[in-house]
Amino acid sequence: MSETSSKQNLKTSARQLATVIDLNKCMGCQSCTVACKNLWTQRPGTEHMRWANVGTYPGRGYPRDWQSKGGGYDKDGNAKAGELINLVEAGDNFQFNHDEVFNQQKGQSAHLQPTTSKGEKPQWGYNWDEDQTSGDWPNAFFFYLPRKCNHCSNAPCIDACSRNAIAKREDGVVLIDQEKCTGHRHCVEACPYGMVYYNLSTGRSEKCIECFPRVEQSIAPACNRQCVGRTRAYGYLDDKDSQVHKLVYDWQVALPLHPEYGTQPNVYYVPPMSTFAYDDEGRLTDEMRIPMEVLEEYFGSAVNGALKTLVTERQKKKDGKSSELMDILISRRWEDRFAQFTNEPV
Amino acid sequence: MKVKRHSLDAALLLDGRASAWSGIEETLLPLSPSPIALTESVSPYMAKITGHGKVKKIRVRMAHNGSIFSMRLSWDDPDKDNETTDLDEFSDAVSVMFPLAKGATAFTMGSEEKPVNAWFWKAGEPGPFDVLAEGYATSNRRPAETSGLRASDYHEGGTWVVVLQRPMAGDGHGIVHIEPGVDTGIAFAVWEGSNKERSAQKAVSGEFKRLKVDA
Repeated sequence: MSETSSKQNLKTSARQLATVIDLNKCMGCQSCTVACKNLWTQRPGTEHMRWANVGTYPGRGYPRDWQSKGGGYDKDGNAKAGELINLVEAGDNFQFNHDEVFNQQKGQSAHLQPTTSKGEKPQWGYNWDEDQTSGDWPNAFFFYLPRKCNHCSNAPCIDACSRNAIAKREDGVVLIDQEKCTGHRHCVEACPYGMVYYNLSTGRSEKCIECFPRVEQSIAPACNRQCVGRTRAYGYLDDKDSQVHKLVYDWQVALPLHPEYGTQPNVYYVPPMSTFAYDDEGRLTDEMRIPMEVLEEYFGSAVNGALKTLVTERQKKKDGKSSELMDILISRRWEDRFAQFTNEPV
Repeated sequence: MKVKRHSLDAALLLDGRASAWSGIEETLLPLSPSPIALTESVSPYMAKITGHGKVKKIRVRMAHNGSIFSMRLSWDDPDKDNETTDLDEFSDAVSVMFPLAKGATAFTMGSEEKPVNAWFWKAGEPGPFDVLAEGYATSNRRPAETSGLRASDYHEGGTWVVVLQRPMAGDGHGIVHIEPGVDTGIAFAVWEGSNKERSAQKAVSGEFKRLKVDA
């Protein structure tokens, strides 16, 4: 078997699990981040990792400036060189002077403050620019962008691994074999989403495992299940009864992030409709505050059609008519969102 | 290249500072950047990398005593990279490779039919690794005990000195057997950690050179 065809085998799966996230409902509470961290990244060497994370956009994102670090493929499908991320960009591992403040009776003189893993005053950290906006008053805007590994259908991390340690399972989940990985980090450079992390303690790279031990027992991944805003749907893309399928294919309102990266990501986003803008006289207009250029930059040109559909369907509901799409997005019963993945995580 | 027989004990031959080494002929081997573009099918991302192969030469002294094979490798490297404290840092390393079958190629790290065996030392690791490879992307790092491989190292005055030593007899799977009086092949590779060198990003001595082993 040639190397190329074996790579293709590693990248191919019978089915594909996917997540849809409605950005109109995400309030940036970081419940997904915390749910993931509590489960998977409390081990030595994983302190900086947020396999699930939420950034404020426009913003530099997490890991910092991930959108300008390359990776993925060009429009002809050729690999694009990428860059490694360092500890500060990846969120670092802040230490706090808890003992000084709470146990040494210095509560009046010492203030709780973080230091970086290198013992310095932090200049950057996870969500350093949270809630910072763009646009001019009174038309300021921002939106939250929750992220995790996209378990791409054309995963560049699999292509990049010089040891063939990364592969897709039959359900589409992309995993790094910790026995085979030797920490070369070509996967870190290749992922244009910055969702592969190096573990300094083990000398190996890690990333979101899609909570596969849960998924195997029909329990939705923790980030999806713990979302208090009911922003997320989960299931197999080819399951025609799943919300995932309906939102991605039937309604075409759930779009991949940066489709131009060429990796065919499997986290899909319902784009933010944003609030209406005021004109110079302070009157409310029917213009969206988030410029279309911004949304097109993130979700491609398909975002125009998706937003039109969303606005149309929302209007139906406002007019007292029925809308299957709005009923899906309202999500009255949480079980409806997760297809067969509704077992309790006990 | 040749390795002469010396009646020296194994402990002495594992000590890079031992004066015995000064009586053993030194070979200066030029190194060049590995032909990384050849790895396109293994990793199109790795194949794009340029600027690797920072170390330009390696000094090699080799000796055997009939049962133990030792080599003292040294190369100039002002940056001692034996500890990675950030996500974009890499450690220095050196490797010596032998063919396990006639016609095995060093550039490809062997093939399924013609594998190679390498002794791999990486700065900061508790011990060396015994590596079996059957072509790109197949290298299997095994514990040093697999073949009785041992190593010692020190960094002084901007120079790394690494000694790799192993019993000449090798009878396990993928373990090179070095027979006194029988020629074999040898190739070298050096990784400069501060230049982010790892995997195929390395300096290499080229295709296998004939190694004459004294009877």
